[in-house]
Amino acid sequence: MTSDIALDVTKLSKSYGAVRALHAVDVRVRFGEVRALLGKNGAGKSTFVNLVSGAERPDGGTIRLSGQEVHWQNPGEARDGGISVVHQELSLVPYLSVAENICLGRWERRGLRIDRNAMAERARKGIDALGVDLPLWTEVGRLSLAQQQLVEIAKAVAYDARVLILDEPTSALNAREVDELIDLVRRLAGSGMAVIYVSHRMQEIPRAADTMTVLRDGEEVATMATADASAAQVAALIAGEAVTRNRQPESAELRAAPVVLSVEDLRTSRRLAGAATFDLHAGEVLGLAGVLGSGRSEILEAIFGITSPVSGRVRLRGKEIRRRTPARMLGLGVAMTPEDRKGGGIVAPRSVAENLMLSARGRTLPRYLIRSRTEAGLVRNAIGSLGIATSSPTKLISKLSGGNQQKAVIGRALACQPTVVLLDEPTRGVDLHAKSQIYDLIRSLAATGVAVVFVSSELDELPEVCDRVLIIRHGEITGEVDGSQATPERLLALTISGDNDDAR
Amino acid sequence: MLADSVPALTARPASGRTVWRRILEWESLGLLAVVAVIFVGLALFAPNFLTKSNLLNVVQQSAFFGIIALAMTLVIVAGEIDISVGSQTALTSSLMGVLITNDGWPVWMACIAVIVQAMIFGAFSGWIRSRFEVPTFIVTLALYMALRGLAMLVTNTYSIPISGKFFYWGDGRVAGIPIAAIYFLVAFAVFAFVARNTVFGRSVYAVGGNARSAEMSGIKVRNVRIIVLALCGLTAALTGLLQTAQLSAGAPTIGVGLEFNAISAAIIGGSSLAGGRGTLVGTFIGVLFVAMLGDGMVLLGINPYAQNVVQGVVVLVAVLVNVVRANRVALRA
Repeated sequence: MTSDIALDVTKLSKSYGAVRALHAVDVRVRFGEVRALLGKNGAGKSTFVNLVSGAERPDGGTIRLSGQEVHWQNPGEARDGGISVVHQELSLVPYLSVAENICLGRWERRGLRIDRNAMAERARKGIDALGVDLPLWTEVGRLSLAQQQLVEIAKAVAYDARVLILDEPTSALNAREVDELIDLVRRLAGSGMAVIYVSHRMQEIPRAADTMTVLRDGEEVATMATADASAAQVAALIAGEAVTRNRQPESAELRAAPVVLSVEDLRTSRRLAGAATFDLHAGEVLGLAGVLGSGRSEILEAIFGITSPVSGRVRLRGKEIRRRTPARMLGLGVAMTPEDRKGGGIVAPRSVAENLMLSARGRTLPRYLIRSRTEAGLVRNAIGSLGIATSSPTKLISKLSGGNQQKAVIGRALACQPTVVLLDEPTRGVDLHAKSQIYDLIRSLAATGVAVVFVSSELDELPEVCDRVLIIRHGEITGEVDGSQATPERLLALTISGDNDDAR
Repeated sequence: MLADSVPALTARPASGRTVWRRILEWESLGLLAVVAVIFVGLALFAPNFLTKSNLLNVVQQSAFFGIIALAMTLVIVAGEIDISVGSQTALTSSLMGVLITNDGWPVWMACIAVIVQAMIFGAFSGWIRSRFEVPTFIVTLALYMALRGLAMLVTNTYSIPISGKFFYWGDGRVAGIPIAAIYFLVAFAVFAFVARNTVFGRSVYAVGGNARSAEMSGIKVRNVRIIVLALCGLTAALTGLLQTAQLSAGAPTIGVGLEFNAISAAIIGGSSLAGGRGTLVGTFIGVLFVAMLGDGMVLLGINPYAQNVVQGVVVLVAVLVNVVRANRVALRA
C-alpha cells in the first residue's frame, strides 16, 4: 500500500497556448513531510499549485491523494477533498470575525439562524491545531498581517486538510514572524500533515523543509533532501545556465557621467528596517534586484511621490525635491511605469492613443487645449518606434495583448520626454519577443542619455540590460554588482542568501 | 526620442465608405433610431404632438434638466455621481427670492452669489470625496437632504415673488424659440468641446477609467473631481435661475426629481456608471428621449404614477443595454 504517500503527482503537464508552463512533473510527498518548491518566476510553481488545488485543470498527468486518483473541477472540491492552499494574497473578509472567516462558505445553520456555537467549535479546532492563540470574534481587519495569515492557515486546517500548500507564506513577514511560522509548519507536519512550501527565501528552506523540488522552465530539475544541498548549488539549479547576450561596457565612463538622481537614506515603510542610498548617472541603466517584499517597488514609488517615505531625501540634479507627487515629478522629467499594469498602468476603457498621450498633456503638449494634429503625429511615432501591434490608434487599449499594453504604458511615460525613467517590472506577463523589444528600448533610451532604474524579479534579465545592479534586502542596499560581472546565479545567491556586501 | 526614424503609417483615406462605416459603428446610432421611432409613434398616435407649441414645450422641458444632464455626464464619466442637483436648484431659486425681494440686492449680484454658492457646494463634495475617500453618492445624498432643508429654512417654505425684467433673459423667446433651449444648445456646444478638446475633459475620462493610472500619469485626480462636481453645481444653479425666471418667484419646492431626469438622460445616452465612458452627444439624445417620452405620456393621458413606472423601467433597460454592449465589446477583444 502507498498509505504513507499523501500526494502523488505523476507526469503533470499544462500549456497555455504555445507556452509550456509545466511539463511531465513528478512530485511525491509523504504524510508528515514538508516539501519546499523552488524556482524563479515563471518556472511553473504557481501552475503546479493551481493544478493540484483545482484552480486549473491539467492537460495531462495524474494527481493521487492518499492513493486515490482525483480530478478536481474547482478549488472547493479540492478543499473538501483535503487539499488547502494558503495564497500569498490572503482571501479573508476584513469585516468578518476570525471564526466567521475560518468557516467562510460553510456556516452551519440551526433553522434560519447561524449556529454560532458550531462555528466557534469548528474555528477553535482549527486554531488549536495550529497551537496558537487567536481571538475568535475579533474582526480580521484589526489583526496584524501575521495573525491574518494564521487565520488563513487555521481555515485550511479546520476542515481536515491532508495536504497544505503555502504559497510564499513569508513574503510579508518580519524575521520573528517568519520563525514563528516555520515552527508552526513543523508542528503541522509533526501531526502528520503533508506541507508544500513555496518560497523565494533560501535561508528559511533548510529550517522549514525536509525535502525540496526545484522547477525550471516548467520541468522538475531536482528533488533532494534539504540537508544535501548548499545554497550555491540550489541557486545554480534554480537559475540554470546563464545566457548573457549583449554587454554594455564603459562602466568607468558611465561613472564619470553626471549624477541625475540621488537617493539618500530613503526608508520607504515602517515594515522595512533598512534605508537605501544610491546615485543614478545620466545614461545609466541601474537594476534593482531583490526578493518579493524586499522593498524594490517601494523605493520607486517613494521617489515618484506615490507614497511618502518614513525618512530620507531625493535629489534631482543636486536639488532636493520635497513634497513629491507624480504630477510634480513628471514636470521635473521623472517618469515611472508601475508594476501593476491594470492597477496603475492602463486606462482600460480608453483608446491606445488616449493612453499614450495622458502624461504628455500639460507637459510637452499644451496645458489647456488638445492639439489633435500634433497628438496624432506623436501617437503614430510612438506606436511605430515602440512596435505596438494595434490595428488602429483608436482601438481600446484593453483589446491589446499584455506586451503591447505594457509598451503603451512605457510610451505614455516617454511621451513627456523624461530624463529619468523608473520601470517597475516592465516585462511582467509579457511574451519573450516583447521582452527583448523592451530591453532594446531601454538600451536605446540610455544611449540618448536618459537614466533608467529597472526593477525586476527575473534575475536573468537584469545582467542583460543593466550597467549596474543593486541588491535590495529589507529596503536596504546590501550589495552592488557591475553589469559585466552580473550573472543570474550570482544575483540569486546575493538576493536570497545572507552574505552581505559582496562587493564587485 | 520617439519622434524620429519611424516609417509614417499611411493616413486612412477619408473615402465615402469609411465615413459610412463610422456612422454605422457610432455607438449612439441605436439610441437615435429609438428616438426617431418614438417621435414617429407619438406623431401618429398622440394628439397635438406635432403642433408647434407642443414641440417648443418639449424643447423647453429638455432645457430644464438637459443643462444639468450635460455636467452630470462629466460627473458620471469621472466615476462619480451627484444626486443633490434638484435640491441645489431649489436653494438657488430660494436664495434669489430672499436676496432680491427681501434684501434688495441688484439682480446681477444675486445671480453671481447663487452661482458661487452652488459651485462651492459642488467643490465641497469633490473635496470630501478625494480627501476622505467617501463615495460621492453619500456626500451628495447628504446635500440632497440638507440643501432642500436650507431652501425651506431661508424662505420659510413660501415662494417669494420677484419682480424685474431680468426675466426676459430667463423666460423670453428669440425668434420664437424659448431662450432656455438656446442656453441648452450653447451649454451642449461648450460641454462637448470641453469633453473632447481640452486637457481637462480628457483627464475626466482618464480619472473615471482608472484613477490610479491617471494619478500615475501626472493627472491631479483630486482637482479633476473637484472641478467636475463644481461644474455640476454650476449647471444646477443655472437651471435654478431659469426656473426662477419662469415662475417669477424664488421657490423652495422646485427641482424635485430633477436628479433622476438628469442621471437617466446620461445613462440612456450610454454613459457608464463605472466611469470612463460616455459622450455628450449621447446625453443630448438621451435628454430628447426623456423629454419626448414625458411629453408623449402626458398627451396620451397616461396616469402620472404609471408614467413614473415607465420612466423607471426605461432607465433599467438602458443600463442593461449598456452592460450587454460593454460585454460584447470586451468579448470582441
